Amino acid sequence: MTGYAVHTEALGLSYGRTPALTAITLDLAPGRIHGLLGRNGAGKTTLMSVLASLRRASEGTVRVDGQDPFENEPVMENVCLIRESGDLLTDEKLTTNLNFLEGARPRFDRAYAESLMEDFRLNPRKKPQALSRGQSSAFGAIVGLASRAPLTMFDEVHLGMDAPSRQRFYDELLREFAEHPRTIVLSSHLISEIEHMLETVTILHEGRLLLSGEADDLHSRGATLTGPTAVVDRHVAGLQVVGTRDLGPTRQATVFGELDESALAAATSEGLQVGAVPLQDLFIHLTDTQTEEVS
Amino acid sequence: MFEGRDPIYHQIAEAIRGEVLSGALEEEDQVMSTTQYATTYRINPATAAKAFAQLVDEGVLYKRRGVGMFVAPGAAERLRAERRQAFFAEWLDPVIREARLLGLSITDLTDYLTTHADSTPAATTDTEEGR
Amino acid sequence: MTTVTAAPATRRSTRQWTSALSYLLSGYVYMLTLWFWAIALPVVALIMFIVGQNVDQVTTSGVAFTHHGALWFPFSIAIILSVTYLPIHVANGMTRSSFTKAALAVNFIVGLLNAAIATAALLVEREIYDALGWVHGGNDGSGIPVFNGGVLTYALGLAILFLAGQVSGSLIGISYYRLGGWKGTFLLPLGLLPLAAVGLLGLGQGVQWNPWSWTADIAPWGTVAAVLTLIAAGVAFHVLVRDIPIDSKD
Repeated sequence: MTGYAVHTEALGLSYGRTPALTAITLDLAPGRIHGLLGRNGAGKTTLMSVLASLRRASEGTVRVDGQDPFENEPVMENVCLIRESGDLLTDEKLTTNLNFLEGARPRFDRAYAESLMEDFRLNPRKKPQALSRGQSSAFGAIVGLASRAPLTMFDEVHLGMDAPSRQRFYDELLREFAEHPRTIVLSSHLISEIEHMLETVTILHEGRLLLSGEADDLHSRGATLTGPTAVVDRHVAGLQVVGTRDLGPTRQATVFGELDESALAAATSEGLQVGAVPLQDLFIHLTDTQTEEVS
Repeated sequence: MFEGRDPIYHQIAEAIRGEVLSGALEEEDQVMSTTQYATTYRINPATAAKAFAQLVDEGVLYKRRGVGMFVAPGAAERLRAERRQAFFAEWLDPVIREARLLGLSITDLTDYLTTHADSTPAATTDTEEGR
Repeated sequence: MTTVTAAPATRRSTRQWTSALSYLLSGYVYMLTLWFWAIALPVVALIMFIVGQNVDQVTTSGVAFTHHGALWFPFSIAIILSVTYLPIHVANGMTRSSFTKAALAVNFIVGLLNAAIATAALLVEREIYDALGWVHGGNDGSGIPVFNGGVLTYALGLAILFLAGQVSGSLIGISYYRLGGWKGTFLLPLGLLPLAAVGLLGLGQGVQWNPWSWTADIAPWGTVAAVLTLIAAGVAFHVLVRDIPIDSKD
């Protein structure tokens, strides 16, 4: 297996007196696709910036592939963070940028990058500043894929692309990941499209780690129960109900927490529909309650 | 796809079992690779691999090194035998329960079954509940 | 949990700065330097031709005026390298220290290159002046020959001056990037210090701000002090760059 492991312990970072990250202790296993979720300003970009050595943590330890990545040449060149800003030579053609990237990234696959540029219809003679937002995002995605970096992080890169480009990016990411396994981090606050691609989910909120775990476990931490109002109410009594929706005599209740599987089976046998809670809903719920508790 | 609360790899395994049972996948047919599966359904390749591993354990699929995954000989038969055992408990017990609630007698049910068995089209798969 | 890194990844270890240097030299600096001279020299030739038509005897070198450009143009390029290239360099996985090395090496090489071209142009010009019966004097108007201290001394002086200009540019650029517009502007005099110091050290008896004539009467201690100043400036640059945060607020 190739790919870097990530480990942080009590990681903290402040911008002046404003804390951006507080006490982040996190493990990301190598060779998997990790989701880094959080609302805007939650600290996702800051955390990835620390992993990519763009900033040094103010407190705590950071280990990438077991080493401190900051100013560590063999580690840094194998950690790729794709940001919306692009980090390209803006007044040089895309081909010149590829030359530069080849020099910077030891595993950069130029032929692959060029074939992807054809797929995404990017003219190699154009300059980054002449690209539309969608095209810039696509080129960023290509750079991340073709870098083959053992730790590759995409910071909301897909958000700039239109729907067909996003789908192409996801397909390419999965194919590339299957053929060249490595550690991938996808950050986003829009989750539904990527949720099944993620093996683990890490949620940041207001600079703190809300949770980090297997995506499957997170799925089983919530459920929707749908059926006649009285029956639903009877079954959700005592559970943490985070939302209800009524449609005539039918009620859908969303519950969250460690659920008793036999209780759910009983609900099914009484004719209730038990469904999964989309990750997006869990995420919204989790970050909402946390805000309320804080304020 | 992937609506239920089961882990996705369960749902994938269940879908493949369904295809084997319905004959959509025949013995010695090659199934999609994990990569194809991952890109087709936009899921993590590891998830697809986990489902395949489970099916290999159950003897539904087998692996030919360097070639891919194939439906094992006798897989459909084996699945069918297992399903038959579970069929009454899983499908008919709830029917009987519901029928009692509605005041239907067992005779009503058998009558219905005998009159409708021939006119109901054969299902392509009886495992749709996982989808 | 650690993983084995494939051989190609470590092969290049500690070589980032040479990779960056070759990119900067080829894609950026050589071209800009050559363009500069390709434009500057014909313009000087044209001006001197016109002046020669209207004046009895020319007593001032024309090429010497291009020193202004050869000083300030690379100075501004050095600022740009610090402000716009550094973040791209680091964001693409290269270390800050490799940037420092590459940027200082660029300063050094371009400074030498410009000094060599300027000196060569002056030598050619001197032959033409001699042929025309003009006086090849420095551009302070004193009529003292440009090369009165010797050609090599002059070339060395120019190289140190040009290098000082670029190091100042690097420092000013990094101050702006690191500290922002307000503090960066406030620190502008500090960033200019290496250039000013080198210029003053060699100013000698010159009565005006005319640093490139300093080489005519440079004393050995002046050269030593200038080199030490540049080393100090290089260290200051390194200190400012070594843990600089690359903008990433979200």
